[in-house]
Amino acid sequence: MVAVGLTLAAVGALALVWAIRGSPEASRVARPPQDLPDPHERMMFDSAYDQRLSRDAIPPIYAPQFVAAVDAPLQPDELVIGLVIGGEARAYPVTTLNRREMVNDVVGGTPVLVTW
Amino acid sequence: MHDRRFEGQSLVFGNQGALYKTAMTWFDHSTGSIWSQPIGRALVGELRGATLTQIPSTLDTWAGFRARHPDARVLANGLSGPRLVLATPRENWVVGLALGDAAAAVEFGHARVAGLVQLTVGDEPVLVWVDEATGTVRAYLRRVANRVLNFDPAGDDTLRDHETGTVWSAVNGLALSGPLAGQALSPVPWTSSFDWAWRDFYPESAFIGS
Repeated sequence: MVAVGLTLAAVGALALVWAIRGSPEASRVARPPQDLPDPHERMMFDSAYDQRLSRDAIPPIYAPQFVAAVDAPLQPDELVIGLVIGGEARAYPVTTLNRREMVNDVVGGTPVLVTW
Repeated sequence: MHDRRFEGQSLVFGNQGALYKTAMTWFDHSTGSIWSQPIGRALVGELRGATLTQIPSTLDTWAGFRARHPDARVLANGLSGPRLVLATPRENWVVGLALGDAAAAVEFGHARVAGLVQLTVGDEPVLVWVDEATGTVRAYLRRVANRVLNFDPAGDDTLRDHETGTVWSAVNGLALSGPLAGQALSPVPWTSSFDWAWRDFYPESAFIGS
């Protein structure tokens, strides 16, 4: 879901406040590289950019693990994002994506980034 | 959803923890460049200007997806132990379509009631289908063999095109019966977004149903 930040905004507002106030890492959030040479572009970027958390404070899935459909403990009516590439089908439960937001995966030989 | 390859290299992405125009940002582990999710593009850093290719995806109930893909593998991280499955909020949601330089957004609630929304994004004829009962979402090109088709709902998750009378599955895009039987509608990449975030990124975007 492009949405996403969305997830940050919608789901995590309270958690964000807690995380920022409660975490000693908050003062060490990553700074964007200062490599926009044009001052106007730099200003436009800065005005739209809002660093809320440190990198990977919401941990992405870098090493996805899988179960067969028959073994997946999902409820019939819960939502999944589906990808079908090269004959290989993958389901990503939205409940997991709400918490992790990003998955680095390879489906049907194609490296994919699933984000929500 | 995006292809992670850029110029032959497979990039690994982390969560930048920042919002850009109210939406998520990533960083790539190779260069630390900062990427914006809705446009899949690096904003600052060594890869500034690089854009990832979008991949079509579906949003389904598990029952529906599993019925069509019994061999599917399911992401297991976080599946063990107790899980709290909450209804996904759909207020202010749009089905966002960005094709070439053109963008359009179909308000989810509108599409769910209408069942079928047909539009043109730039030069591309597109349909968005949402199943009212489950909230399943599909987006397809309405062009088959250089011919633009217009559709009506035909019951049981099917659509009928005006031009040939062919009946199509809305679920997988296949022509089930009629003159075009055996053909398939091409899926179009789409993204679910909050309407305000979509407007931030695509101020010229059409908004349908809002």
